[in-house]
Amino acid sequence: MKEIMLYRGCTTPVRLPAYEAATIAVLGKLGVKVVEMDDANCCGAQYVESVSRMAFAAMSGRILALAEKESQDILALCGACSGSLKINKHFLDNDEKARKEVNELLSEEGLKYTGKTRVRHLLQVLNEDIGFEAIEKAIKKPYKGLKLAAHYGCHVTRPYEIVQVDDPENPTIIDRLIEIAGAEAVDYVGKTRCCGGPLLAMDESLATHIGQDKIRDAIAAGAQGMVTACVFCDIQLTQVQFGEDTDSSKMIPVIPIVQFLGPALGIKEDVLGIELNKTSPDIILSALQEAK
Amino acid sequence: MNNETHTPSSDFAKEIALIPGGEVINKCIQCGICTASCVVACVDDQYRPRRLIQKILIGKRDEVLKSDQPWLCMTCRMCEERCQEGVSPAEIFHAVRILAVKEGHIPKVFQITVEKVLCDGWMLADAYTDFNEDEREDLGLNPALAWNDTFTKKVKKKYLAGEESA
Amino acid sequence: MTIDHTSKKSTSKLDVVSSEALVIGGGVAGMQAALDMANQGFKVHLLEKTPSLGGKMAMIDKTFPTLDCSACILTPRLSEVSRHPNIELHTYSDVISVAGRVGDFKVKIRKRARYVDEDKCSACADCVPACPVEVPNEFDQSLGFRKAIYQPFPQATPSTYTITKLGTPACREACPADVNPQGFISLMKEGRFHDALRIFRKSNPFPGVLGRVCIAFCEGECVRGELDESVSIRNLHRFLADYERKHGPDRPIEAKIDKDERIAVVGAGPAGLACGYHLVKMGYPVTVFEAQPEAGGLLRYGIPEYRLPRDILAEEIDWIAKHGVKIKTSSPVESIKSLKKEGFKAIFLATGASNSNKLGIAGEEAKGIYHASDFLERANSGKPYPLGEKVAVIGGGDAAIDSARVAIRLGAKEVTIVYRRSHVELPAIPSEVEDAREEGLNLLLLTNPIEILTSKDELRGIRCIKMKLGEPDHSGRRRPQVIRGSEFTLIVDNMIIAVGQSVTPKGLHEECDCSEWGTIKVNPLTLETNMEGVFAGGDVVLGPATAVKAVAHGKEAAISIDRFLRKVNVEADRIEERHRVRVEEVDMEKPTEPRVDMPKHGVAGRIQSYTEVELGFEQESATQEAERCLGCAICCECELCVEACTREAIDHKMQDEIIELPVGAIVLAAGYRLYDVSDYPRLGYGKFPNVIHAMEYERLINASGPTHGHLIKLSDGKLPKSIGFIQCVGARDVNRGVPECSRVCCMYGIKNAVMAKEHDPEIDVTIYYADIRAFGKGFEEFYNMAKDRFGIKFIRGRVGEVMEDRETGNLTVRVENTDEHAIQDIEHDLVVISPGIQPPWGLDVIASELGLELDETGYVPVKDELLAPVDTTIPGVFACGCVDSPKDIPDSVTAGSAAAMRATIILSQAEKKE
Repeated sequence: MKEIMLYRGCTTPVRLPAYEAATIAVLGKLGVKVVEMDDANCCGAQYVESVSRMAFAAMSGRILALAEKESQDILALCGACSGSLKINKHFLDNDEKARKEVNELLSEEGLKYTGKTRVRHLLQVLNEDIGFEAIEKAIKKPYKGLKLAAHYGCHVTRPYEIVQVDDPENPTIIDRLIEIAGAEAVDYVGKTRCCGGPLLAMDESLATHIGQDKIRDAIAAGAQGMVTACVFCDIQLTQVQFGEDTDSSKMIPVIPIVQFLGPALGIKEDVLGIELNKTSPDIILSALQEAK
Repeated sequence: MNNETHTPSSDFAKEIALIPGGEVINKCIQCGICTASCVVACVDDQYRPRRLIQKILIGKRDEVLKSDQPWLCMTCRMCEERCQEGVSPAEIFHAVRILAVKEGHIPKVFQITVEKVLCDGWMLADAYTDFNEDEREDLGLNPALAWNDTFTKKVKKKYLAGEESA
Repeated sequence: MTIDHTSKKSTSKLDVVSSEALVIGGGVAGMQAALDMANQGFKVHLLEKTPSLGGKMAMIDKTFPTLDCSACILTPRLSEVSRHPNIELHTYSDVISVAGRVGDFKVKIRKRARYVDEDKCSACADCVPACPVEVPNEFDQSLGFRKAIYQPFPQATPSTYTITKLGTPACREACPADVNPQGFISLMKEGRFHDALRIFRKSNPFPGVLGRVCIAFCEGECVRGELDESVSIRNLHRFLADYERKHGPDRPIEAKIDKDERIAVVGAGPAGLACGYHLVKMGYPVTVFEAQPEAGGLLRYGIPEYRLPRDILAEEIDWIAKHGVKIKTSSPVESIKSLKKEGFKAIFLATGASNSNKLGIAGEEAKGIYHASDFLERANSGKPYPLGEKVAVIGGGDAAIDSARVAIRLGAKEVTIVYRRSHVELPAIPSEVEDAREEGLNLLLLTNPIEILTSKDELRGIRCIKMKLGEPDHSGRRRPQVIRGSEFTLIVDNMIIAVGQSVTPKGLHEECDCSEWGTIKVNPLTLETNMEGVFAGGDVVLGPATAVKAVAHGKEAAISIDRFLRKVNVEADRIEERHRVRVEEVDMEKPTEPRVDMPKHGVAGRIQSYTEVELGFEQESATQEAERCLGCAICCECELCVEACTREAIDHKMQDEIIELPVGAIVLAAGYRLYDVSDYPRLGYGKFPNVIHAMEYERLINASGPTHGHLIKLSDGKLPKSIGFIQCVGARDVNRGVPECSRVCCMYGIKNAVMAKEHDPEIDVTIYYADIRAFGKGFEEFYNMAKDRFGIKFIRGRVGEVMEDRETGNLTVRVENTDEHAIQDIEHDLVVISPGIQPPWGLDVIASELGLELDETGYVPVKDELLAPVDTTIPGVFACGCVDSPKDIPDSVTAGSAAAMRATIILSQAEKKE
């Protein structure tokens, strides 16, 4: 079985552990074993990133070195983590001076980064390592009569030259997975726009406004739910639908790609942690057809 | 708008051009496609990436470094994707942040969070409760998260020695 | 690259062998160059790859900054060029290779076949309504349609039509009888069923018969099958026959026998009847001799009625007879000599192969065992053999399935096919097998009989053994191998052996040279036997084959016999070299749609009798199925254009011509292409119907365009109220590798905006830009006029994205108005994108032939931008127009004249030949 090392990031284990569980279950079903990373640290996204380039490189570099020690590739669940690790990998691979400096810091623990480790986002693993054909074959209970909008996330798809996951202006991986599972992927205004998550730190109300716009645009296009591929986006798009000036009758379920694929692959809902979802996934689950 | 006269200077732009990310700032032709693509600009009347870059280009160093504006960028890189001249406002504002921090300008929330991360090794140490542990166990996940804080403390010492928070 | 450009610097006189020039590209620059050289007395070859001169200038509506009608400026040029005694036009042509050096180039060009004679065609357009094939009109940017035979625009030069024909479609290539499915199906799409039937009958007199029983090789090769399912070709020509039966023919049959030489055909099966048909059409008197009481051969005596009703067969045979073929049934022929004695000048033997093969195991002669041909003949003659309850049929071909289904109709309760290979190798027509299964047929596959069990010489059962498929043998089919120990017994009352047929041992064919299998040996091209004047075809030559191959032989034999009697070379030119249209050449961008189902008689009712099982398409289903045809070759060779043309200008047999031009200098004026703006998903081109690009806009406002000059929205055909023009798309874009400015878009964008206002002053027009580059003479004034006089709004800001309101189809442009620092969402009902221009497709190929290395932006580099702006790095090769850098019309024309001058400096050094 193929193996890949999971880098959880700070947010997933605390705010959305179900995403982690669902990822492990779905990848396991599709032939990829997820291995734990021990002794990790924050990748440095957004905050350390904004204050010191080398500090950022060192923090992400250590993650890369930890995986390299076990001869594993890294699977990142959070878009920001995935972006940070890839950007720093690109930096350290191409700047010898920086790499030397980081390795010096790491040498005390016996760690070294030489460039062997690859960083993969979940969508890359599904598209490139597993492949649509294999996923299609593994679908046991397809969906029917369900319209969903795909949200990719900025750090997942941009900058393309470094992250190389999908076409940044016209991404299709999640849409294809939605269709393979039997639902209809809906195109909507602002499909590639940011969810607003990164702005929470500086201005929560603006960030919420941005997230709500996204949900509104998806609903206007006829979507009954939104499928995400980044932990941070998922939490943000869920959260903006609650609160004072929101209308709970207009709420649509927000669901990570793995929790969407899981039931279609025949994985039990409690393994996927779906009952923990803040937005009710009923409309999605009720569209599941009986086993083929 | 500022009524004081400002003497234009290209020095600040040259300074930014030396910081990684700011190299091609002089290619900006001020066409506005970045702002038209910016999600933050659409919800915040004052935030205009093009205008911020304009200020850098004409040398309003003080105003830019002290401003909150560069910190509003979400690094979503839509501007970078669409700019036809090869400029990345996201990266330029990143370069501005680095410079601003060096000169002691950093929004409180960033300062506090950086402190936490480097001290605990990760961001949400305080938020991880027994409840979360149980939740993980129920899901069949390892409740022991095993974060490492030694390295981040080393990083802090080496790179951010002057950043001691209160 | 075969140019020699290592010639030394010329202090010595240049040896110019040819004083002729070649201009590559027939746009405004190329025409200017050609005229300037021709007017000095030099002969010029003007080559253009599209069917007409004119280039992009012929497509646009008005020019800037003068707002002249582009066609009014251009067409006098077209006229001058076409009439100039020193200019030879080579339109619809490509450069194949260039060899030699300055002063002595040898250029090979391919003049593509237009299938229309340029000199005879008067462009009267009588052919256009006759043509059934419609394709998107490239000149109109695919906004409208044109026919396969077309002229790009009314003033096309030379004034002639052109037929787009990619070759022979796969279906026609696959048919042994050269039936033209794309031909008749194209006509069916238009409801022209009688015309369609005529096309079928050119090759094959059995639309209804073969429409029921043909194996349909065509369907196996149909390119539609690569998309979803092949077109139901057989059922479509069956419909044509059914249609004529229902509505009667539209014209009476013209029978004219005007020749004397009598021809004898032996055997009234498909081969013999087809041969007779083709011969009487040529005017020969033909007599067909048939030993059986009725004509038809295996069509009559082998195929059961539920597949091929007697009356259908009889009517189609009668149709052949009405053409003048004499059919004599119950008339066996004694010998070939006897026929010759009777005065027949040529003989076609088509006696078939109706002898059932034996299984070759002991007990085969026992009572209750029948052989398929014999069994079927008896059943089809109304004298069926009696059958018990359990019947086994050995074999997997159509004869086996036919025998099985007849057995079911004769009352057998359990009918089983025993076949030694698997479902994949089963040779019978799949729809027949499916129909049989519906009727209750059992299939025992991978099973072989090894022993016949009898008692008192009567069949009791069959000992069988299971098989498995091993390695393929020389024929490519996997060989069946026994599985030891898997024997079992099948208890049966009757057994029908259907393991193939062969030629009967006794017969007329014995007089000819035969093969070891008893088939007549013939010349495969001409079907001549070893006896003079005696030809043979069908199963008696091929062994058991198919009805359509027999029909094919009948046709070939008729051609051979005609040549033989006219004492002309029989063998010459029998094989036509054709290009089969490949899958990659066909446009497959279509939604998938399964075949229309063939309605069938209910199972319970049909097995009680021999009533026809497949009921045939209704007109609506037939038209629906016909629409699935992809029209692979584009022109389908229905030849209705030939009928319509009163000047005999159309010749479908034309071939490409390759000629070599000796020239002294070459001017490259290959023009430009527009950047493909579907490369910008954020602008919605290709997704939103009301987002178009500038050339589409030009065609919409052009009076000779698809809407006759009415500027309409593509979503609803209404006039737009508010138009947004987006500049700098596909130019000045580092991300897409096109960093350079295209020089013309600002001005043409403004011109287009002004044209909108001229169409309707009430339209609200806005231009979104980063800069307005109005640099030349009159340009700044034009820009100001656009603002002041026409009221066009200019917003400085590059457009971020275009969004669509699904309900109205209206568009919202999101832009930062940089003058006001404000983000604006502005609604328009039409958005026109101004694409940048790029070097034309194929320039790299021509450049490599000329020895030119393109620069990194894909343009031809000139020798020195300041001092030698039209010279390339290759002596004798000059560049003008947009091929070295973007230019507007005046600059292109100037460069054309300059290149002409540079070229004639060389050409004038040629030795004067008196």
